[in-house]
Amino acid sequence: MITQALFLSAGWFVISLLATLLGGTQLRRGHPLFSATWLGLVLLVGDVWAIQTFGLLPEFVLLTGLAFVLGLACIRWLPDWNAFGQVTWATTLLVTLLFLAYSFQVTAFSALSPLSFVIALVFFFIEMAALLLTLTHSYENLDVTCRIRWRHRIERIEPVPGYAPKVSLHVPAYDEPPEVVAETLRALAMLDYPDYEVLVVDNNTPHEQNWRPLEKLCQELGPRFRFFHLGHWPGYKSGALNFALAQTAPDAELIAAIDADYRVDPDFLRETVPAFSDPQVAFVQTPQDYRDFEGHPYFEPIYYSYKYFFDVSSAVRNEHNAIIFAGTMGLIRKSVLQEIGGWDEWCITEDAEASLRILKRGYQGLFYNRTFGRGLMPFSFDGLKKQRFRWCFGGIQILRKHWENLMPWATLVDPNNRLTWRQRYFYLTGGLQWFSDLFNLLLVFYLALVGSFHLLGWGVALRPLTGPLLALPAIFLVLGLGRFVWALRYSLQLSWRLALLSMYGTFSVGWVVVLACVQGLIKDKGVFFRTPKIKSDSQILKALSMAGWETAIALICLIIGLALILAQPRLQTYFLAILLLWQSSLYLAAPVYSLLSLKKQVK
Amino acid sequence: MMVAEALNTPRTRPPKEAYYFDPDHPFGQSLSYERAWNLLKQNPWLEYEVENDQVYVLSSGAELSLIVPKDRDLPERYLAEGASLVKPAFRWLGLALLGLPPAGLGTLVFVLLAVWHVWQVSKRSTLDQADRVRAAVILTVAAGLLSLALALNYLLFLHL
Repeated sequence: MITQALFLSAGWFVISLLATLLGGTQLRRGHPLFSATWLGLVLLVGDVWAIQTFGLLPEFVLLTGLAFVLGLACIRWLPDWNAFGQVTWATTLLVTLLFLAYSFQVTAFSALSPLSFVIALVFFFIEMAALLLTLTHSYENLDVTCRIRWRHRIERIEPVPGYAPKVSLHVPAYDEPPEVVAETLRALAMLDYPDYEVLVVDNNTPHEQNWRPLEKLCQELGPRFRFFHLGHWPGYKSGALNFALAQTAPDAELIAAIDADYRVDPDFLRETVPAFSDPQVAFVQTPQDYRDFEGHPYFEPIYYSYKYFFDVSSAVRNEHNAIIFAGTMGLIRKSVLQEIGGWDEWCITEDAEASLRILKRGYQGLFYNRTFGRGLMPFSFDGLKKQRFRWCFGGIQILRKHWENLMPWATLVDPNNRLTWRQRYFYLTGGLQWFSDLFNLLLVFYLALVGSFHLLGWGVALRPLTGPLLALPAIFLVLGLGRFVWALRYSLQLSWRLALLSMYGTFSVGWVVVLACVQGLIKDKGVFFRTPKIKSDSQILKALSMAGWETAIALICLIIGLALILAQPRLQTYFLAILLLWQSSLYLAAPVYSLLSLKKQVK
Repeated sequence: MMVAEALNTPRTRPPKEAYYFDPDHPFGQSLSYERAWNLLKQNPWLEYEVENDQVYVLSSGAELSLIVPKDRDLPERYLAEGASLVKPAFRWLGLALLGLPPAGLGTLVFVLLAVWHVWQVSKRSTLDQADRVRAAVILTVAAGLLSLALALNYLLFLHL
């Protein structure tokens, strides 16, 4: 019974998603009646196909009624989306739930040995976790592409005559090349704003020749600039920023965090500070943008994979006052930062952590999607991995510290917790989404195991690979990929090729995210990623060694996938092989991007 | 090392002078800011010695021991010791959740530990409002997890 129902819901899902991919970004009007009509049409077409294929079954009537009610609920709850988005979200929910029900049925009621049953059940739970996380990604993609009304998007912050509070710009630096920081400081000296100071905080830089030139430059740039060198300073970057807070001019009202490699535009403060005339606004974040990437085979895709966060995730979160403070190119009210106790020195993504504590107190954070400064991306793949490790590890730390604040009973435990349901949802899923790569790796392990068993002809079945269990993940995969690339294309105005390369850029750091997730769960203090170093003069060998594990996983999947196609050319094994080859391509992105990052050095 | 202890401890570079101001006093803060400002203009080198919730104690480049008020509220602690009597039971509950995939076998053990913890704590002391809510949540979730675990146990039994 459930098999046919699953096929019917998959049919609705395919129809609605294809229509959304074709017209979801074009339709910029919405009306509940039109949405309901579109819902009815999708259900009707799916029903006609299902009846022709399977005959008229009683479960079809029941499921159609259920889908209609669910669709109407989505239309009601998502009034700012167009009809395509509303119906696609309803069908996505339905097909995911039915797939999980079907998968559980196959796992629970197939003739398996006790051990096989337990293993199959473990993988069912992994599959369930992965699919639920995929749902959160789908929601985000649909929200940005099918949204017809942006209620909180800031087109421009209106100037407020006479309002120009003193701003203290904090520039933390650790062993940075002096010429890079010098460029940042010279740009800050050109800011078109009447009242500001710049505090350069150099912490733990071991070589004096790297910070003395900056001290001299600060003297040259005038009394606005102050320089500190902090030796043996604890608390990483947040420790240095906390000291800067203690040394901020007493009359400064706002603090801006600027990374040491950012070239800031002169109008940065003039355009953003007026937002603080509303006392409820605690922080304003603008995009962290980058320079020197155009046309480079490594930097360009990586650039757009970074940009996704601001153009998609932050844009969506801003609608619900749930953005994160991302540190550089953001402004924060000094009194609020003091009220929450400053930056958390335990957390290695102190900026994002601070924003959660600020929102918890009922303040507002604004995302202004206009670039006011550009920094440098990590020069090497090694640098990229270290950065991603830090972000993920910090994200898990936030989850560990604040999980109870995000739970449904949070306000009963702490009546001062003013986080809304939406804010809790976005912060919770934002933290949990890091685990997608971990679940993906576990699924790779499962697929490789099943593929190997097939090749060896062993009778021990982990779980019967029925048609839907193989075909539907492959369909989900293709459509999920299409949806992600489509969201990238739409929100960043990319070509198909560049959108695809950016997607691979995102996946190329999947392995390091897995490592960060695991360490984030077990380590209490912040740790940093170390890559294996090999003694070789060959840059190519060094680049490949940085992606050694990813290459090994990719090759295992590739070999098993190809062997399945050659040894057992059947439809069932084709689906399994497709899934393995897809995973192989994701992990192969790591060595490919590591090699491409060398291009700059050659140039 | 405590702040007071740090000020009295002889160091490799003994302090010639110690600036100390009442960190809660606005005049003290402003004076400290001015002093630090002037010192750092001469030499921006500072070395960390020790800190507490109110102040940093630093060695300056001019071989002075410098106290800098933090001028901010106490930060929220991570899992502060003794903050909640019931909260540690969530750890057991988390493990109970992870115990579901292996046919609910792990859940049976960890759910009982979570409930045992709540029971012991509530027997020993009076729970505050927050902990009463936590205890209710733990017992409700434990009941749900236990039901799921028993269903999975039954399925495992069918496969024996």
